[in-house]
Amino acid sequence: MGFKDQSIKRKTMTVIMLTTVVVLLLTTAAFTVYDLATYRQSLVHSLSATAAILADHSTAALVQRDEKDARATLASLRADPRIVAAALYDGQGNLFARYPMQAPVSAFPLAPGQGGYRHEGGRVILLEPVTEGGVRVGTLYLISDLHSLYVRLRFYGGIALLVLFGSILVALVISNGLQRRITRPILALAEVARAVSERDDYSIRARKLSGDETGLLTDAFNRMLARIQEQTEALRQNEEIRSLLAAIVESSDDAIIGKDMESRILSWNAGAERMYGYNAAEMLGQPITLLQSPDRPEEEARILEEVKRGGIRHFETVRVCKDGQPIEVSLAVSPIRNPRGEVIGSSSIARDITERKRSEREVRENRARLSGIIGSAMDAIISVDAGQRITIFNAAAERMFLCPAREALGQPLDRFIPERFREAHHGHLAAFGRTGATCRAMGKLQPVSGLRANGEEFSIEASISHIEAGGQQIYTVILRDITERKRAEEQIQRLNAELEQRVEERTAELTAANKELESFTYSVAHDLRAPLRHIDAFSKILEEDCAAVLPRGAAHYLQNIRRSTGKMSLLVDDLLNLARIGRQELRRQPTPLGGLVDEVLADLKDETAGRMLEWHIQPLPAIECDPGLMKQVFANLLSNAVKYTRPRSVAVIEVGYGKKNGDSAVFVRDNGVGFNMKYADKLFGVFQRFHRAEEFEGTGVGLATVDRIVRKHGGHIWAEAAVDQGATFYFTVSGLGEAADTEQEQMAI
Amino acid sequence: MSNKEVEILLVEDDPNDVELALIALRKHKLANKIHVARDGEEALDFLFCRGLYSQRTLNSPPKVVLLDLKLPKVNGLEVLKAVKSDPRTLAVPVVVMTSSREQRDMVEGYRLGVNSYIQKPIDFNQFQAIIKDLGYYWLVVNQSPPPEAFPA
Repeated sequence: MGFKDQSIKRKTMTVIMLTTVVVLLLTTAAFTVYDLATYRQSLVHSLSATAAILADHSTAALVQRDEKDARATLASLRADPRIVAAALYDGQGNLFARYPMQAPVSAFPLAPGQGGYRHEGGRVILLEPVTEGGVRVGTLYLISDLHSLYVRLRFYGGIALLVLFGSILVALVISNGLQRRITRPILALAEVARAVSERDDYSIRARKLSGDETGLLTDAFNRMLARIQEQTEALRQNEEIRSLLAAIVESSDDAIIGKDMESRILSWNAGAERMYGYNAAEMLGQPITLLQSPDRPEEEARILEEVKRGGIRHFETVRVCKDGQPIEVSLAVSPIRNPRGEVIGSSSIARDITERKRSEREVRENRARLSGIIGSAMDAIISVDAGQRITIFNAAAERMFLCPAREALGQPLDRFIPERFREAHHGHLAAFGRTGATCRAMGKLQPVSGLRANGEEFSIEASISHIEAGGQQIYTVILRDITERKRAEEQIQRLNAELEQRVEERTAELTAANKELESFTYSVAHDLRAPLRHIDAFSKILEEDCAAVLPRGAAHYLQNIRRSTGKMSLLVDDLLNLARIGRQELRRQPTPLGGLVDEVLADLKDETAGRMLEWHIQPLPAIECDPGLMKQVFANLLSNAVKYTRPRSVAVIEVGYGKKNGDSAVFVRDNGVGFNMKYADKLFGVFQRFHRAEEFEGTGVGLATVDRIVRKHGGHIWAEAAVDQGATFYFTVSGLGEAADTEQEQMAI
Repeated sequence: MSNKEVEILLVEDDPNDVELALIALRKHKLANKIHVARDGEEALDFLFCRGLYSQRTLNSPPKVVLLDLKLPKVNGLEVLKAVKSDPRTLAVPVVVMTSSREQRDMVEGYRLGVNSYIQKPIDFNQFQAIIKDLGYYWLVVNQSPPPEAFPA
């Protein structure tokens, strides 16, 4: 990461540190250079002074050529540690003495040279002429090294390092404190900027932490944010409105097309695509005349003219779809202006009105058909509005009320209602409107009388319907002149009344007859039996008490008399029973037929004693019936079976039920003497007997009684037989089929 | 008529029936204390001690009344109703003897409180047997109501 990308905090720190170090280094360097220069100069001065003194002291030795003295003088240099070597040259330039003694001669130049000093190889070499009375007698040669200088330099270096280190430390502490003050607001700003850019949230504001440039920057930044926020909001709203408008245009069912002034298509919405079949890609940039109907070539030019003038045009026309299908459209073309108000194009909004046009045509046709129906109807059809004014008055109405339609239309309906009914009629009509019903036969509504133009009143049968169309209440009545029918009805009513009266009379007669019959049977029951009892009783008394005086044979006649009375008595009982069944109410209750059969078999025990009888009794269902009467059925049929099988050595009697000719029937079958089927129709008549009395006894009332009971139970009875081949009696009763179906699958019998 | 003791009151209009009943009763020695009323009105007079029978007292009624239903003037069921609806005669045993077995007569008879209901059989032998049984039962076997059963 280069310096550029370092954080501002580090940058500040770096700057401060760098400045501090550089300044310190420069200062130290300058100081050192200055000190070194000064030192060196003072060293030369000091050496020069020493040399001058030494030269003075050496003059004598030189002059005298006293080597020893010269050496001693030089040896005094020991006191000065800076001087590492020294030599004395004589006036001819020959080495005379040297210091230290052990130093090799080669360490000294052969000739000493001029006076002065020079730096040579880290050493200072000083040449001091030794003079005597202004005559040069020799030369002092001194060599001093810079050791002290280096010591001093090292010391300085140490100090400088310490100072540098301390300064850096202090600078670090100070800069750290200072830079925080400076960088914090900037960092805060940077944080806010990052938040804004990351979240696109321009509502965030930076906190102003100082009044300096950073504070100004914060203010400026916040103002900028506010601006951006406003603009973003405005932009968003614009975008919303734009997309809303775009959505409106796009989702519109209408075809919305934008064109420039050369009639080239600029925009093409989904409605246009649906309506015309072309998609936007096909149509953008194309001339609108693609849609033009070939039979209206001038249309677009006219529209363009109109648009140029700035007018808005609404009109209906025909356009051609992609598939060549013409459609009827309703168009609205309006100019599009630029901000300067110049017309730069036009928009056309088209609606497919093919359907509407078709419905309009249908409505027209329907209206024509309806008016045809109304006109040709046999019934009068009259419509009134809420104000009771006639709006429809058909030809039948004209005939019925003897009033031409042109006179009736717009007139109040009252005109055709007899005056005394008008009030009531208004009430009824209003009430009908309130019920919300839309149709009602008006048979019970008043008035049911109409008033012809000639003042004649007549009866009407009416129905009324109510519709609301376009906020208008419309009541339509359909009227039928029922004068004739009414007359016929009245006649029917009269006849009915007569008939009813006659029925009443007949019923009364019948009731009387029934009553008479009842008292007749009652009397029969008492009065017919009484003489029989008497005849029987007195014959018996005669037989017993007067046997002694009676002639021979009389006992036999008396017995005949008594047998006849017994027979007569049975006959009377059976007839009474038959009569009773006729007028008795059925007392139906659930009854198991098998139980009845068992009871009858028990009753027959005496009668069948000593006979060889084979009974085959199948299970029988339970049905709703009068158990007393139903028992009589079984009693009659079974005792007949027992009776007519008497000649058989083994009588076989079968009782069961099943399907017979599609009906569920109970049957009783025997292997008795049977009968000839040609008499079958007489079988169930009263007093009908097929056998002579001495063969088989009987009153001839039994099967008639059975027949009556079965018929009272909603069934019928019939028989199948052949002479000497047994007989089967079948009977049905209502409820037997259902009972049997629920119990078991029935077999055909 | 005096207040002589009557054990059986036979209410019957038909002279043949009266005769046959008497024959049967006599045969079994039960006809001594019998009285015959020939219509309903007479029967009621007898039982309520009115008219011809005003000498009689209510607290000595017959032990049994044999009542035919088809009677002149007042019919048998009306007689029964009068007897059974009056506390003075309520306790008198009444046996209906009739030719028919009309169900409604039986129903009505029992509803009015008849003590027994008998259909006269056609066969004279059977008739005699029934009369015998009746007489023995009501005169001998049955404990007749005590006089306290007949409040004055």
